[in-house]
Amino acid sequence: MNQPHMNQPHMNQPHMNQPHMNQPQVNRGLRAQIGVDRGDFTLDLPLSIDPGSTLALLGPNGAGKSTAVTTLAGLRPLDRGFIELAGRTLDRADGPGHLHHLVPADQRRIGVVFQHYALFPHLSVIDNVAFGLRHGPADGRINKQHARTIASQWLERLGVGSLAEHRPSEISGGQAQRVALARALVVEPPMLLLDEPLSALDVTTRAELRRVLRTVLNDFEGPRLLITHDPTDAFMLADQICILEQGQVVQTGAPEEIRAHPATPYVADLTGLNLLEGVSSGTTITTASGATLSAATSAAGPVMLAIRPNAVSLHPDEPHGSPRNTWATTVTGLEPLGDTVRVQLGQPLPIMVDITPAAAVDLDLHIGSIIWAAVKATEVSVSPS
Amino acid sequence: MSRRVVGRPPLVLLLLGSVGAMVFVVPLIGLASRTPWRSLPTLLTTGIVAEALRVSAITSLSAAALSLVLGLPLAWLLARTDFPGRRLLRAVVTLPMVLPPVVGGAALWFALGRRGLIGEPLYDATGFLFPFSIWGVILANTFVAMPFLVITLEAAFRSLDPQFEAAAASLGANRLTVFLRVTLPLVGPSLAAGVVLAWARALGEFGATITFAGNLEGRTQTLPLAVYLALQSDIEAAVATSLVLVAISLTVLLVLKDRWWQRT
Repeated sequence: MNQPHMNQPHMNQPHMNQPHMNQPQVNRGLRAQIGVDRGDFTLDLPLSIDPGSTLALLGPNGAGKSTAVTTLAGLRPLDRGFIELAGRTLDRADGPGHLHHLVPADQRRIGVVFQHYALFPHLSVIDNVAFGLRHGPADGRINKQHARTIASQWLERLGVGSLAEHRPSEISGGQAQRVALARALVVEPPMLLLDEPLSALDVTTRAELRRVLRTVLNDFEGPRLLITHDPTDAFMLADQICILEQGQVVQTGAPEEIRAHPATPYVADLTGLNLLEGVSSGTTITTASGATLSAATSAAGPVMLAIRPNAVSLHPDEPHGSPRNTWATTVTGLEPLGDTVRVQLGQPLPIMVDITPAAAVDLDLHIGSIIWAAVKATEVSVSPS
Repeated sequence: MSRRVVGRPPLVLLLLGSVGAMVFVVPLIGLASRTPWRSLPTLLTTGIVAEALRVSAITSLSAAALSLVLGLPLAWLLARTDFPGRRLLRAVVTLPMVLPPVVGGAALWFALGRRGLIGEPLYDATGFLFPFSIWGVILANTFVAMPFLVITLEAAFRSLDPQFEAAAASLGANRLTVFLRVTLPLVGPSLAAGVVLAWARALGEFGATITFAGNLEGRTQTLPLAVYLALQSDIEAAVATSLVLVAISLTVLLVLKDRWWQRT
């Protein structure tokens, strides 16, 4: 306090360590402030995704996710804000009367995988993938043979090489999703935008495709944006999660952070999913923490387990009933969340459980309580990891 | 899913339905019964029938081509852009489908005739006249035929999932490339249906043609006009010409059945 001059260099330090704050053109990530006004709906979405990082935009239907996709893809202009990718301004709107700068969709080069894949029905699978190479920006076009060679390499990489000559109508949803991924990746876009990539798939295919997506996302060097309404996808695939509700961001942060400290009861409900790693043999899974669980579906090898917090029941004594999984444990945390109380359980299975405040009172829960937990095998969802 | 009734249909429906079918079948039988099958080849290749066939072929195909060249962009504009008066324009474009063709012919006459709004200055400047020329027939045919192509294509453009075009744009294809490589192939079946419908309508055109372009043998006399004239003088020629039109129309309808009639 008596040495104010000593503080001076200290305060400047952060700025000097983060040159991109002064020179945004150096950053290869996405920086955006998406503002859209449509009747009585307003979208305000700040986005910041670093290269090599995946952000999941999570929210229910009608939250404004699709609107965000259309503005990023260049299908609709911003009303307010800006979009910058790798230091290049794609759109900027400073309010009415100000200069409007809009890079058209075909010059944005954002690799988009559309919700329903949008594979061209009149072209074969390989010609779909080769489309961007043959009919993309005039300076980068290559001849048909060369384009098909590169396209077939990508199809092989995504495990659908044998489908090259098929029409999109002849392949399954999961296969179409792989083709759509190949088509977006083949032109080597600086950013990847996946719009509800798994929503149209059945449960089995979804788990398989999630694994494919994880590999694809990990290999992709630019910023990755995953649009989803499914917390499982967001928690399994993203480094950062941004939760959108009615056009407004409710919470942003790393998955663990959001799960541990949900900002609102809605977020708690949406993201309270317990995810555990384990090894499966038949329908029996041994978790990383050493607990053994029964699941309804069988699998072999390393798996991810998902248990919803409201699928677990708590009992004062050992329960005897239909649930396959019962165990005694300790309460290590209690957090009231509006209509529910989130209970953190300790070893052998550190998961979160949502119960009503009344139940918490009845069970006389406090940190350190010994309690029995039960969960039905059908509530333990398993996907290969 | 089959909507067919199992068992015998109610008698009253069977009876009235059969009579309804007769309304269409009987005239065709009448026409066939009067057809001079033996001399048909000669009739179709000589005299006024042959001349009318030539004029009809040239004018109907030209009108179909013109409808395509002008109607395709018009349909795209109506479906994909928004401008003041778009709804009114759409109504005006489809007007010839419900307007008596004679009225259309008269309207063309007042606009492009010898003393018409545009016709008069055009004639004074170049000496060119639409009426009584094959160009007049083509114009009259296009006037009545193009709406069929425009509404078919407009519906196709509207029902096209915009995700396909968005996907093409996201891959770097510019707007013209998107139109040529994605939009056009996707509306291809409707495009073909629209052209064939327009052509068939042009082929059968009577009222606007006779009002605007007259009935000059070898110049503006098309098949329908020849039928009308021949009925008063040469019945055999009238029957032969009618048969040609029936055959062509029936073929078009059978080919287009799935595409057009189930759509609307």
